[in-house]
Amino acid sequence: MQLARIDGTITSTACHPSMVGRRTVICQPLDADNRPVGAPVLAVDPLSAGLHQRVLISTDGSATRALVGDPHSPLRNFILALVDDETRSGGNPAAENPSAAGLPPLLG
Amino acid sequence: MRLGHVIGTVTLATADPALRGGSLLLVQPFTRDNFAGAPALPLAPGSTTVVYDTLGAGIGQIIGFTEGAEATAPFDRPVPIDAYAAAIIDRIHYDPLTP
Repeated sequence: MQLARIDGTITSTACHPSMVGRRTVICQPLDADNRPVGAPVLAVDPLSAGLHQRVLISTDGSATRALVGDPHSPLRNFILALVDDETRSGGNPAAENPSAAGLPPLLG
Repeated sequence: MRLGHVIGTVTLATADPALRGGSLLLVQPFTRDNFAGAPALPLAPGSTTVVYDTLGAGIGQIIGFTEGAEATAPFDRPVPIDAYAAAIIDRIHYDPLTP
């Protein structure tokens, strides 16, 4: 699973049948500080994520084939979840996640 | 799946019979600049990929291609390919939060 941000969409007419009628989004992989890492990738989006929304991408091809209902689909990435918030060690939990205020800092 | 510019084709003299039915494209994978509209040439750093294509993509077009095990999923026979053109892209709407 990969943390990413929705940075756009693509449209295609000549495509594999398993892509017809499905929203395909441009996902920018992010690091723990939400900085872009590498080039964007494409993913099928069954959750209708909004522009610039942070998401989790699954790269499990068999799960994607099950999602689109086609055992011959070449698709691998799909939007698995929409991210509300995450906290990492080394940061300031109180600033990044007010509900974590008062908790001891994470180790590492 | 990644996006790439089709910058050429590959013609084979002798090939595994499993490759019949499609063509081979030279594809330059997109960098972030290409998503923002930068042209394919001059080539950005990074290797050029050979992609198996059954959609009929031509030089100058943009394709979405899938790599690894999923590249062989569309076939009901074993094929020795690891990159497959899944879509010819009509339009890209790209709006990065930070340039």
